Amino acid sequence: MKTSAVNIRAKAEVYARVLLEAAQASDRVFVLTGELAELLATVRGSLELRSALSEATFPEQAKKAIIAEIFSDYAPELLATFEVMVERGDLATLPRVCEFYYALAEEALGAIILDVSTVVPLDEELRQQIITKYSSQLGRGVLLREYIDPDLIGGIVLASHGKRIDASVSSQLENARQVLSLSQ
Amino acid sequence: MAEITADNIDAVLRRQLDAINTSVESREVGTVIQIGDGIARIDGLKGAMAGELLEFLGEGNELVYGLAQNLEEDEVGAVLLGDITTIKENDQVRTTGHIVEVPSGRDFLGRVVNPLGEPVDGKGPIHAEGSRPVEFRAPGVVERQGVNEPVQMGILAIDSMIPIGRGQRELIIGDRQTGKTAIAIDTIINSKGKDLICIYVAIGQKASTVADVVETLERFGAMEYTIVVCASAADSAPLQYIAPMSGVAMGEFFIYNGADGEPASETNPGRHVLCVYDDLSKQAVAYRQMSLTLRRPPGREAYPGDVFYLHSRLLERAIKLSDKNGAGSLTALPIIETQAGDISAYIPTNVISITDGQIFLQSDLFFQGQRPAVNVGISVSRVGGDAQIKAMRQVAGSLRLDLAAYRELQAFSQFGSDLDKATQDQLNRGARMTELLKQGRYVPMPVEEQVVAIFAGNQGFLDSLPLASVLRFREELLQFLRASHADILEAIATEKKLTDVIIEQLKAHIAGFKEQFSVEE
Repeated sequence: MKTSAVNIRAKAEVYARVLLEAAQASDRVFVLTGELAELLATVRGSLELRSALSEATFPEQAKKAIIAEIFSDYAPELLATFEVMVERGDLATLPRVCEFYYALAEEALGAIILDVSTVVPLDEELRQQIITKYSSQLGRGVLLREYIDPDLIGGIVLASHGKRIDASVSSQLENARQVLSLSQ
Repeated sequence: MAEITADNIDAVLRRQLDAINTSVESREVGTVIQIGDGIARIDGLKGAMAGELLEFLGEGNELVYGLAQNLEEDEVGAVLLGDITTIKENDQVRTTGHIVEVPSGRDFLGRVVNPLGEPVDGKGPIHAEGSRPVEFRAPGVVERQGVNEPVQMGILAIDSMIPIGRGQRELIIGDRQTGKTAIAIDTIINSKGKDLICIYVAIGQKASTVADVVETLERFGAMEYTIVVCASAADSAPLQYIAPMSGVAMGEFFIYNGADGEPASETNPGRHVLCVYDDLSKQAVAYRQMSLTLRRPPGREAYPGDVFYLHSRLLERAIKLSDKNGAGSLTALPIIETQAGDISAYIPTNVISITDGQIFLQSDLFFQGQRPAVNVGISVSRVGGDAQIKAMRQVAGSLRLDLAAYRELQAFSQFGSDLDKATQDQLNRGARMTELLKQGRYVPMPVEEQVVAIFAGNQGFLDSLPLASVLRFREELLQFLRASHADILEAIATEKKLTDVIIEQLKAHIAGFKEQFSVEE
């Protein structure tokens, strides 16, 4: 008998492949990477939502209504996949679905997805600079997923595949605060 | 903290500003997926190392540190060392690239700190000279040498029959309220002026008990060479788990560095350190809690499978360094609390097998008035004999066997009263020697006085005394020698052996004192 971890991975791979095929059909492969990450963060961030969606005695129609209410802006293929996951009690596979989908999407797009957070929107020149720099470094194309985060105060934060390059003003100030508070 | 004055403000500012790292930092990040019971499960961090220090970015960007424990395929299980209430799901976690370290240095002497090295005695910040890793691989065979110097605990029953050497690991084991901590505290008090730095690690104890210990050490002037590491019962399980390792890490600073703070070498001798872990049963319980909440499989008594390794790697850090490495030493005195004298429970058997001997304390002896309540029959020191001074070996060499024979005879004699003279004499001597070994709390005895006391017993000077007068005889004899014949005590202390001349003088002095000793008080 397969262990639950192996089961989860197998199921997650199926969900991710189906989602990718649907996204390719509607040409929304890249858009879905961002929406999937947001969906995962929302589910992780709310215990009530997780409890409601994973409660076996809760009516399926009510669960679908919750999903439709909260994630109404998301792509229909993502919502459909998510509804099936909830219906079949596979909510625990969501992080792994994200992981597989990312890998499959990057392969399909032939590029690495790079999250870029700044305080003000990137201008075209800076965008091109980042793409050129990282394309040459990674030897593959780069697709930027841009976020605006006023908490950074200034600078830029780049993240991809669990690695994060932090050149923000806020983290440098935090670093300075720590050094000064610990210094003798 | 260095005082900032108009003269040094420029230098202080420059130093602090230089320390600020304005470069871009590249870290691995993960996300908290579950938090509770002081444990966090983190998605991501695929490159995290076992035991690596993690930074949790909590509410209001507050940093809370954690310790990576379980490295699984998809997630990392970590224990939190700080305020867990500021951390919630979806919070960011970063790797730091280094394992947990504690600050250390000479300024820690006289201070009470928590297992992270932060002061908890309200005496202000401590200037650290460096930091030492909490998990440190013990040096190998080449860097060590055999135990050859005594610790001198100041307790007659122990120094005579269960001698402990510098660099040894000696377990103190017994039920609750049998005087385990008292032995450790007496040892610390007796270490005054003996170039021995003491570290007392309190694990899972009441804060009031630790305050009592600190107050006692202060009263006897022992805090000036002591560091108290305190993880009280109110502290989280991870803090209680790392407390002994933090204590030994602070101690290692002294053995690997000379008195000047520079690295120890042949020309710059390392210091001698005594580490008391009070107690390892509570550390094992904290580790069990952590392991169960991390969902590690429980083994015997629900302890995880690696609890033996937890204690063995800690106690392996007790060491006597070779002369080339500065000849410093770290002596470990772990304490284990048994339940109803059961030494066959999991943790006691583990620690007994790891250590170089044990001092076994028994409740019944304690309540019979035999204090310290050391059962000399089953207490043993496997390596300390080499570290005993010759004078002590001369007088106490056969004491252990004599007392064993006495106990056997005593049990036998209960069946009948018709005993021959030789047996009666042996019983008489045994009873007096047992009485002689009684000692109060906080009255450690220098080794030369211990030698004299046992010598008096061996030579039969106590045989004619009533049992009730033995202790008074010992005290008054020592007072008499200190006052009138201090030279003989000094001769024993310096020559470290009983020469024929000293023996003759001692016999004469003791006989002389006995003549004037009044049995009735």
